[in-house]
Amino acid sequence: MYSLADPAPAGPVAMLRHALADCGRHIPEVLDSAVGTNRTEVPLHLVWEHAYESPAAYRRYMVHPFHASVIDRFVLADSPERVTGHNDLGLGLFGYTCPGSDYYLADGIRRLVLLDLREATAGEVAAIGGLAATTAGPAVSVFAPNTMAATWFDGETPVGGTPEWTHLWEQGFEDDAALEDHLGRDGAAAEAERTGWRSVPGVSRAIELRYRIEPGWGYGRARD
Amino acid sequence: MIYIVDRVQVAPADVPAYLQALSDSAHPVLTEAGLELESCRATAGDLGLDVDVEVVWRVESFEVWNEVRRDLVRHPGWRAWAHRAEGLRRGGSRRFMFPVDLPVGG
Repeated sequence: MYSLADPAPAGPVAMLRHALADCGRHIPEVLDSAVGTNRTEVPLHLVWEHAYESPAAYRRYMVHPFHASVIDRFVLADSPERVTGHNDLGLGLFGYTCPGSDYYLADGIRRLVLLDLREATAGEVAAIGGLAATTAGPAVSVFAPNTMAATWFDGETPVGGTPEWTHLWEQGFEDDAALEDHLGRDGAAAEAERTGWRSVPGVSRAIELRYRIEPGWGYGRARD
Repeated sequence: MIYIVDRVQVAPADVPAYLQALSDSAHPVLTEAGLELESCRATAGDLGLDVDVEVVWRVESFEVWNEVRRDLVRHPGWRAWAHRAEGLRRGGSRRFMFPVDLPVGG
């Protein structure tokens, strides 16, 4: 998730979007690349979602020339061509493990609810997970801890402390109408969503991102 | 060997400040992380144009670069360098380059 510089030059931003969407063509270990433009007021503007088969696959991405030469050209803080900017949210990389391509949404609207559950008890975290698991509506619904933020170097070894945003509820909807229908429903989850999660025990902060999935090269390949 | 070539455009009046930032912000942090300074060159400052400053760093491989990168992004001095440079340059580029054989003569 990237904040863009203000102003960010349109041409290089388009090149970054293309590089991210096209990444799997150059780095076979990168699966299901898709990009999206966040529609909420959260100052994260560009989202790149993608997957890896394993930590070993992630490590091959990390040392791939395309990563260093092209993607980092636009995002690394000291690169003269950087088009991304700083944000005070403590957010950049967010990731989790899942047994299959649980996240897959062929087309439609992605909604990410990022939660700060650092003060939550194990029971409160479980209760929120239960809320997500029993909510009808989203075509995709994954509640998971943010394991990648602290293990970004090799996908396994902690290189930082507990991330500020500890959990994610990733949702997918067929279209905007389905998303609005979900938010308008009765029930504990919808109520929590409508109140910005302030009423839910254990939630210190919550933010939301929404974007239309823009599938990149090879999107869906992980399901073949 | 990989050569990381940063070429930036700087207003003539800002060239001394940019070189100073390279010297006391970038060089200590980047060399500590494992990069080696290959060269630093600039175009003339009296052409009525921005000055191009080209700095070339070298690193053994992308595997080593990945470790350098890990150490840089965790180093507060690196972010300070990035912020300082951003305020001085007007544009630029970064390329990872490699020696190539150039068949010349016979």
